[in-house]
Amino acid sequence: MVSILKDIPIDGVKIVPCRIAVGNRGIVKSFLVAGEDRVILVDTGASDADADIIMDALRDMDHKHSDLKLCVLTHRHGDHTGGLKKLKKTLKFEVMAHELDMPAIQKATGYDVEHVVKGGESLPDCGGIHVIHTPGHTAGHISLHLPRLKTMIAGDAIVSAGEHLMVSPTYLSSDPEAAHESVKRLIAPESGPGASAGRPRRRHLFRRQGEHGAYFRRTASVSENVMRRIEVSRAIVAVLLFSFLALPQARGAEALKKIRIASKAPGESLVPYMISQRLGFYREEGFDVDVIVTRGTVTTQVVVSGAVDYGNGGSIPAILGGARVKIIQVSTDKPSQYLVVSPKITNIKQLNGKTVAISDASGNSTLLFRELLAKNGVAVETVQMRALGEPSVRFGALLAGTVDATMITIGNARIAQAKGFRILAYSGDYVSSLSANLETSDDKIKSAPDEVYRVVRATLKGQIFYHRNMSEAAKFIMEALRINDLNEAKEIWRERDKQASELAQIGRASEEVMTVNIERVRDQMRAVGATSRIKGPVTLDQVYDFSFVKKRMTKFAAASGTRCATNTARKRCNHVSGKFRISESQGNRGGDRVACAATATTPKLLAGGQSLVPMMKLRVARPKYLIDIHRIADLNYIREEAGRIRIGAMTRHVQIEDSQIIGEKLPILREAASEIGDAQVRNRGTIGGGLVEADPSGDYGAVVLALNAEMKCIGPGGERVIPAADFFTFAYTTALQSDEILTEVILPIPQSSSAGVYLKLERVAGDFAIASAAVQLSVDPNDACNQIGIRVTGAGTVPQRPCPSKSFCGARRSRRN
Amino acid sequence: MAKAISLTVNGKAYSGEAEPRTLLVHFLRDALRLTGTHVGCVVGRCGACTVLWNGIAVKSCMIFAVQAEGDEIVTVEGLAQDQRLHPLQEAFWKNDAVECGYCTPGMLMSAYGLLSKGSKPTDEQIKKAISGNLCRCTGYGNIVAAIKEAAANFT
Repeated sequence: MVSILKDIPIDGVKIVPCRIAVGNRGIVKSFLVAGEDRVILVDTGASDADADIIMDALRDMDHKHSDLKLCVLTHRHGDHTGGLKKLKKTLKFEVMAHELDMPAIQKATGYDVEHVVKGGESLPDCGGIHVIHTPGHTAGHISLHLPRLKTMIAGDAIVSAGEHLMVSPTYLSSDPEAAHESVKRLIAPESGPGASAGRPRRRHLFRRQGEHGAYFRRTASVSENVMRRIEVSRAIVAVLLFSFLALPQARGAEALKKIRIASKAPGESLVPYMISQRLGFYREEGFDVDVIVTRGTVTTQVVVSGAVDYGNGGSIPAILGGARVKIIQVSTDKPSQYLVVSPKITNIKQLNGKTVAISDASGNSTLLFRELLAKNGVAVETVQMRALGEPSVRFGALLAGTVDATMITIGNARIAQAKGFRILAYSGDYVSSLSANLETSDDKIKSAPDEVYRVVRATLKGQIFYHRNMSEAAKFIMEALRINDLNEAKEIWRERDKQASELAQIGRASEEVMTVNIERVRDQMRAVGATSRIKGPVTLDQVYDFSFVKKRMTKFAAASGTRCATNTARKRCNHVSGKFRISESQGNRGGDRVACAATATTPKLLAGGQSLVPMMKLRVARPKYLIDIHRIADLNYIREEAGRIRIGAMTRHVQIEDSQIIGEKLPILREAASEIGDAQVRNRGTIGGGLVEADPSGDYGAVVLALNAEMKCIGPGGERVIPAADFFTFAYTTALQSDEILTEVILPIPQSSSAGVYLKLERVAGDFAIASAAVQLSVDPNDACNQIGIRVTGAGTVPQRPCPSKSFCGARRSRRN
Repeated sequence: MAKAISLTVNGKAYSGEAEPRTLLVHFLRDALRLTGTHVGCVVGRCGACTVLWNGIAVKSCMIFAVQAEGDEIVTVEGLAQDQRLHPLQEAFWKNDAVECGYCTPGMLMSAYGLLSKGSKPTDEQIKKAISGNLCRCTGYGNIVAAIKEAAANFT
């Protein structure tokens, strides 16, 4: 994180960290805080050699040695004061330290401390520097708060340990309790002069920032004694960036609102979001953003269901498929996919007969791939496509030699290239198509336009930063792709920069590009048989809504000459509490249950909890109230009645798997139940819960559709029966009303001359299906097919019928088989 | 908003307090100090937290503690009796089915859940039963062998 700030002055102030290695144990950092004509040094390193490093750094930042006016020592330890002698001999500056540590410093260095502080003082430099007394590590430890830079230089009060920042460990502090209190005060809203903060949330404050990390690699196994011995030479200075504490005054006591962006593409396409989050652009708007990488087909679906707020993906196929989502910002207007092949393939024609990894049947990269083949005169049918889902899996399959080619983005493409694979074509040379978009649901645009605007504003700021600061963006690319080569990262930046026209860099696409893209996706969807729910011509505003981007850029232009992102007053955000209540339904009758559901506000029913609970853990679902219905014995049964099997909604997967009736009469359902999750999940999960969750890759959906089952529901209005064909309306969405509950699944028993099979393609045991198929087929006495139910999952938001059923009817069994 | 919870763990009555959102695994470990049950991913992927709930194997990170009120839980601490290893544990020991040990409590409880059903499982059934338990030391072969051996002596 420090390195990010290095070359970017904020309002004329910048911080330069001097990296000083101590032995082989870690790095001491001294910091040069540079205003326009004055430089302040914070800590001096341990030795004369460190002093040289600091003087070099000073020269590198184009400051004269005489610009250094003041040296602030955070505390008395030798690894922070040892360089003072050499510096004092060469340069002319004054020293500042806390009164309690001052005597020890004077004694050790032989130099006077000219400025003695107690904490609470403010220096006028660099937009104001506040001195905070943070005793504990030593009695006279001080930290510096630089509000304008949103930065806290916390000396050794806070150290880094692996992924996190933490309080200086007990064995390193002269007074551990005071050390804890100090950090508490740093976090607390009322702490520090000029500090204003929202509700403290440790998670945030201590999240690992940037490049700290290795210093405490071995603490867990090193005994306290050993640590004491190395204490003197050990050295840590941690800078706490972007903490709540460091927020500008205007943020007041607001809490940050958590915003979740789902993305199907990890890697370099997420860099603009990373920039907005790390450089505090989201924070300026009152947001804290988490990017969740999801399964490819799910990205748009979770957006429309409201499970996450925004999505980053290529959503046109989904929108044409009926998703109530709009693209609100564009980041690139050329495709980002490259065709990468195994070394032995040298041109596209050689793909004939080869195996190619694709995402799913109608995914963006798949459409691009088909077009690329078509333009090169390769018949699509001659290539074997394997739907492997997300890019990382496709990339892995390519590296492992499981497939001969795949479409991936430049970052992974170049990593593959370094391993001897070949980048055969760039899809943008053949087609111009939108690639990465920010999207959100129609509901969100309608209900929270202000939030959408501010998210767009912050995201756009990161995007513009990305295109204008190659070196900084390249460092983020290194982190995103976990590569170490800066030049390689810059190459990737250049390639990706080319994928965005000037208009796309500011978030929009031309009308022509939009039109061409919608039409191309429609054509391709037709070719693969995916359903478009929009009949007739598609208007641009059914897919795009650039009003937010335009509003932002208008204001940006109007305010040109001023720096973007002034801190305007903002509305208070409602922070959704992480707490919820569980009420257990004691009633044993359906009626009681519904009454219970109707009285609570926005409750969610907890059945087996095998999806809902982990989703809550991941903050994908955040119900305020849960009603636990797992004990309702009335809803746990499997009964045969008048040619039908009736299964209570709370019947567990394992019961279906083990049921003799189901095994005999509906083996297809038994197969599906036995494929769900793993043994523990099947022990708890229920058929009702699974059906109502309506995951596009769920196992029961295809089966109940293939069997023409019916769903019995009950609500305040009484009972009703929904045919399976009408039950699934969209991903994670069913025809159930919010006050209704599914009570029973009614499955007609197929005739005796009927057979069914459920097949599931999964990556590892217990996973959701990449795709699955359920087929139930009946024949008449002449062996001709008279009835067939067939559905596949993973090919759309709900289980799909891959071909008209009647095309099979009348077909006869092949005699040869 | 903490609620009092009473339940039976390994045949012994326990009570403690937990917020509604407390997961069973955290309640067992933090409130009851039964730390034999391990916490891995906490989102139902790894199976390290598997316990028996009213006789069936479940992942205790996917259940709220309040849901187990009045119920019977068996954790890995409930296997050994009178200072003697349970036959399953004995078999794990004999077959070197433990490497780092992180998955072991979950593996044992999944296996125990399987063997409690009474039948003599095939290799396939054993593999299916432990498919929800991840072992990152790749010791599945020995684990399957151990469970099979234990099944032969299981009563």
